[in-house]
Amino acid sequence: MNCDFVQERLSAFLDREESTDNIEAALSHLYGCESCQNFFSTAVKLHSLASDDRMSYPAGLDESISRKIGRKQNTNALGYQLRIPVYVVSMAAVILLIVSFAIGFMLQENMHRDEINAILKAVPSHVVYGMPTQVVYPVSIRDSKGAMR
Amino acid sequence: MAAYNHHKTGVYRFCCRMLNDREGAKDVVQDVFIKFFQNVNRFDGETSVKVWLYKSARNKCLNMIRDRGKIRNLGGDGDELQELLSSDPEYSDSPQMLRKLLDDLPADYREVLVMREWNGLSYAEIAEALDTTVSAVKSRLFKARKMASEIYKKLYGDV
Ligand SMILES: [Zn+2]
Repeated sequence: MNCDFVQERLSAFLDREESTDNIEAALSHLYGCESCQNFFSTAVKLHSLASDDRMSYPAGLDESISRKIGRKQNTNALGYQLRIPVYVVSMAAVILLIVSFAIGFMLQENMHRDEINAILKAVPSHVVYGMPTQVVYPVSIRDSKGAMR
Repeated sequence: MAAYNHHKTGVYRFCCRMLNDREGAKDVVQDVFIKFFQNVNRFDGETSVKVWLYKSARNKCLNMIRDRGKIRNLGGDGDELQELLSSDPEYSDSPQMLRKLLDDLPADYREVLVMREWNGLSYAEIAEALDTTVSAVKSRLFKARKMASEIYKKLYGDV
């Protein structure tokens, strides 16, 4: 049996990734082969040293990461940080609201009555005036004399 | 946040042993977890998160090792770097032998050995992290151990 073949199985056996069926022949080779014994004992030694090689997580790394995540979330797609105070955003919202009402009011005032009548004539309809609503009936529900059905 | 608390020490340990440098390991861990939190909605299960973290840490470590190689090849501060690493308090407690041994292993052997021996990843997890097969991992681990055994013998004689 080839030493490399045996050592690959011994390596996997050490990691509990080799089935016991495959290991029997490798183990019987191991008993009579110094080279494979050296390989296996060093692998076991390394395994034990690595398990004892503990290290603590650096102090301050938690905080540093959470600070950076927070900063990333406040960063726009271009990578610039936007630092706008809350009161400025609130004032901008109120001003926008007032301006939109003012524009709506001005448009309503400028709309001339003649223009409204021209539109009403262009569209065949029967208009009933009332207070305060104005109801427009489509032409299809009037009879030939123009009276409502 | 649970995934961060569960894996942070393991990922840090992996980076420390891959780079043999505490400050470099801290930078990599920081980058890995910031990227993780930015993509946190993409993960579907625990295995996926674990493998993703080690894969990402491994890629960043390899980039850092490659960049350091460039600095050394440019006639830079190879010795200074070595001195800096030796004076690192993180390593004053760790067995000198392990540091030297890992330092002498090529990166592709070091990564499988550290993932397995220091982090306890299964062959399937290592295979996924390295984009390879389980049988390739098995073979590479054997070769890594064989080379580690030879380095050990050269440095310290028989076990
Ligand atoms: Zn043999």
